[in-house]
Amino acid sequence: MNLEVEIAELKLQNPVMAASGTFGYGAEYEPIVDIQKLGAIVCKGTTLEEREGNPQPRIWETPSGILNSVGLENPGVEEVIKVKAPIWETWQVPVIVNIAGNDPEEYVLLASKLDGVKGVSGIEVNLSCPNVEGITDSGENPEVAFDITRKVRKSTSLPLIVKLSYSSHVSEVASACEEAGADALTVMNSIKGMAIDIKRRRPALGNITGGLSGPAIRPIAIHSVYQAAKAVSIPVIGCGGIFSGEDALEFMLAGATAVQVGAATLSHPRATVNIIHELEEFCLKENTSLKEIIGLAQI
Amino acid sequence: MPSLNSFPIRYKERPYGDSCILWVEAPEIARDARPGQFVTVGCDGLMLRRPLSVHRVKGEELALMFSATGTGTRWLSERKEGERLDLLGPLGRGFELPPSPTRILLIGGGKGIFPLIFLSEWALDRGFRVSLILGAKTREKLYPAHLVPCGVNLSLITEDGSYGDRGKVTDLLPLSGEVNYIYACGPSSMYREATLKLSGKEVQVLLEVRMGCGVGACHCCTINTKRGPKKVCQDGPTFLLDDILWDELSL
Repeated sequence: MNLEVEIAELKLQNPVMAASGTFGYGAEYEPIVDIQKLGAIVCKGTTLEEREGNPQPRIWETPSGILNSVGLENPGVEEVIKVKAPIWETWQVPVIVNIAGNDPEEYVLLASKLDGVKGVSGIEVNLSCPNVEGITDSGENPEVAFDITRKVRKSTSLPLIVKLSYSSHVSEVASACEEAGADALTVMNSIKGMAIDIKRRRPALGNITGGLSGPAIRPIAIHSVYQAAKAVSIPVIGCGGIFSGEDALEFMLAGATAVQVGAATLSHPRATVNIIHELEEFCLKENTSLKEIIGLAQI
Repeated sequence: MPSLNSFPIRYKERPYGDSCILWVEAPEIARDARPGQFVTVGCDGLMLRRPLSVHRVKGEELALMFSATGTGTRWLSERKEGERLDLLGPLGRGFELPPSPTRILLIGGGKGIFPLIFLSEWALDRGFRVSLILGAKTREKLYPAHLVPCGVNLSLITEDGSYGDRGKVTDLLPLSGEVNYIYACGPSSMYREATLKLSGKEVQVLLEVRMGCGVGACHCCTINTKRGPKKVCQDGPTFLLDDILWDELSL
């Protein structure tokens, strides 16, 4: 059964990607998940310098959701190139590096450093980490999104994906990124939220606020994908509370070419491969290829 | 190497208060588990898996012990024999025992005793002499002495004096006689006290923070230590008491 989809010149064996932040650098899950079966892996958000991340607690359960505030803890791009990329180079599954900068110049530096590195199959520009101060509204502001995307585009030949945050005018941001040269868009990141620990009478998270992910945000993500896919002709990658094959189909019918699975991996470590099986079964039963269903629900 | 599978519950015990023990037939995990390691349990309808220390191992069965005080543990306490549990484990770095048998001291405060039972059985089996200071707020919250493995030299203490001595486990420190290997599990207030009373000794403690993945991928459980940032799920949950930065653990 053919589950292949294309994101720029990246041919994915299936549309199911591990979302940034929940899958580490891939190897962490190797003992329990057949990671080579995935469409792609997006690694943890990577910055120019090493980052320690936010104070504890960093994770909190909410109804049908997870609030997290890791704060981009990562070893820095040099370490990723030196230690992680050589491992990825031996893999069949493509690995996309998620990058986060404090200003457009940092994004450019990150992209230039990763350009041509063996084992790196693409770049995902994180315009939208809800847990880090900096260009916090870049994922919502079409001008800033355009500026960063255009500068990164000029500094890399790698497939370039831009990850957007929730925005009430997602179509404008999506169009701006397309115009600036993005090859694809990930729609969307977690949404800023907050919980209070009534026992401690304090914000539940050390960083006060966090990013809400999981099924709680799925209808919002579906709506965003629907709008973004209408606005652009580049592929949209749906992300937000996908826990099953049916959830993935919802996103694809709304217009997504591929999907990313994040929170579900924390609940069910094999969620990604289970979703691939369910999509396979769907295609067999319906005698269809996945490419044929993309955007069918667009009216 | 951790396994991920669903395993049948063979036996359920409610030894005291709101505590619960589930004996699960999980041969792969039972074979590989070491004292101090944990598993995560998938709970129906909940987003986050619950980390639970391994309480005991017998052949192909694994005992998980917990207090049914939260949403996840209450759901778990309602499981019945024959039902299956979604387990990932064993995870983390367990306690390290000295290479040749000697005398070791275990300190368990409240629920902190749960993982120490596995450690005491493991150590006794390998010829160690095991002393255990076991304490709780009240007699009702004290792990029953008759469940402590035979051969353990046991001291009991409760804060209200309703059983054993009156006071905290740390009031019995330092224990008379030479002991260089100490293992503790309990609330962070107990660890702070222990730091004062056991300075100069190597004490291994077990830490608990909110976790995401359990395998070192999500970085939700990272804490700063004197040896730099460490992931509790992967670099721990056992740590040297001396390495802990207390401001990091004001949880």
